[in-house]
Amino acid sequence: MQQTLDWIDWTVLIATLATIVGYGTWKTRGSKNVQDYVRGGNSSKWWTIGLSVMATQASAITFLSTTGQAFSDGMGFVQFYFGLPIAMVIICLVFIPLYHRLKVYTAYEFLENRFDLKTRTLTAILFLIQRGLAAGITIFAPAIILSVVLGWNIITLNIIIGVLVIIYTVSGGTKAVTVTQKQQMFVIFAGMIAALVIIINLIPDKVSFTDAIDIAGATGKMQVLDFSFDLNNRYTVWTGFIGGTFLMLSYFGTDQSQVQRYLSGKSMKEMQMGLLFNGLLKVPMQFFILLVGVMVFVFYQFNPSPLNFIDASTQTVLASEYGNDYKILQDKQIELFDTKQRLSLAYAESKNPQLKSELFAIDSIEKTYRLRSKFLIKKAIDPEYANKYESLEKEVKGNAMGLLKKGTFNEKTTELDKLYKDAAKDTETNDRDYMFITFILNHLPKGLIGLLSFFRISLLR
Amino acid sequence: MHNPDQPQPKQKWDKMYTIVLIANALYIVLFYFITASFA
Repeated sequence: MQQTLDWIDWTVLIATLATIVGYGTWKTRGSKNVQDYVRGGNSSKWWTIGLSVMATQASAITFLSTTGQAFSDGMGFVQFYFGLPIAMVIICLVFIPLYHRLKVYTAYEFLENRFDLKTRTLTAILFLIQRGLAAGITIFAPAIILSVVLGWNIITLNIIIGVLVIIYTVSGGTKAVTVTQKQQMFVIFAGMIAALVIIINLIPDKVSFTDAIDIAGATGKMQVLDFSFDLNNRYTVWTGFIGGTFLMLSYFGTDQSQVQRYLSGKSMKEMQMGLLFNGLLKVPMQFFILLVGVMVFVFYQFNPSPLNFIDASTQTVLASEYGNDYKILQDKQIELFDTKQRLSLAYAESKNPQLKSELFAIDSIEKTYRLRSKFLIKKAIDPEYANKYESLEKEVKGNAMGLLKKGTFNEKTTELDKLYKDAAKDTETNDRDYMFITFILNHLPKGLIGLLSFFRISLLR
Repeated sequence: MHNPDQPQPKQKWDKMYTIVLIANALYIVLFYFITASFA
């Protein structure tokens, strides 16, 4: 990444963080009993619960990863949330009245009353393990990015972030987390809306917002709904309704990180309204985040983009024995960019169906370049992978004499293909989570970068 | 704490539930038109 935080960004980042932490500390002063600590004093209004529930589900990686997902695969991910409103209604009808009537502090306390202490202990342990692992990722993911932006050691950053979060949450309890999440959500959405407006402004004047959506549509990015029954496709209307409903029921109904949010409600009605607020807004919110990612994709139709958004990985591969191959690939991408830019402008003006299919073809070629870049990076960082791939490739290519049986040859070809595609799964090759942050650092105005850095830090709880 | 075996009072259907579910259906209809128009 070429740009780091400027002094304006630092000022905005520190001022926003200090204001929100200060506000949280002030609002929770004098909280001394368990009721205040675990159930936030049962004083939360429905909008506080709703925003807190939404902020709890959204981690920093959500904003980085979701936009990255839209950049590479389009809007289809929104289908994953179709079951959420159904789950919210079921929780309002079944779970909340039960928790409220029994006046429990945790979801697991109910299980002790319903079954026994062993059941409660088992579910509580399972939750702690699962949440502990998830918290590790929640802290680690933005730490990777902050380490790039700030140039600090990633382990030091993990410790600093972890300690700060522990101090704040342990000292303030549920209330400290809940009361500040409203402000955090406001800052996050103000930042995301500002980012979208700026992206639209950065697209050439000749290209209107509708034209931009048309360009995204030409490359398949606006395929929001998929009614197919393809089991290999993770995001379809059916997986959203069936899988999404059960997943959201378990998450919002039994995961203490969510249950404690609505148990802090003033009354049962406030708790229910808070969850319904989430049920009403979650789908459009995800749609909006995905749309930001799609608009960044359109922006890169008119502006050069790196072959791989992880700068450190690019430097590694360029310095390796695969450096020349990578440079050739970069040159090909530059050539492709000229065609892509020209075609995109022409399509925006004429909406010619022929140009639409050409744009789709160009995007498919760029996808193959991006996959190859990941493959070269993987080979550069993992010599064992490189050896395995090359020896398998030798076996397959050396079969000109037909020495391998047809079945064995097919198996090896499939294995080789899988190995090639697997290169994209490595944390050092998969640049999906780096796309939006690269865009922010390189193209957004100073000050806004600090604000967007804030939301990456703020969504750690 | 109350006895968990005690039958739970019957919950009434709130009009907000209907609104949330209808809104979800409307979002899907909107997405259908977006897919049909732009994809």
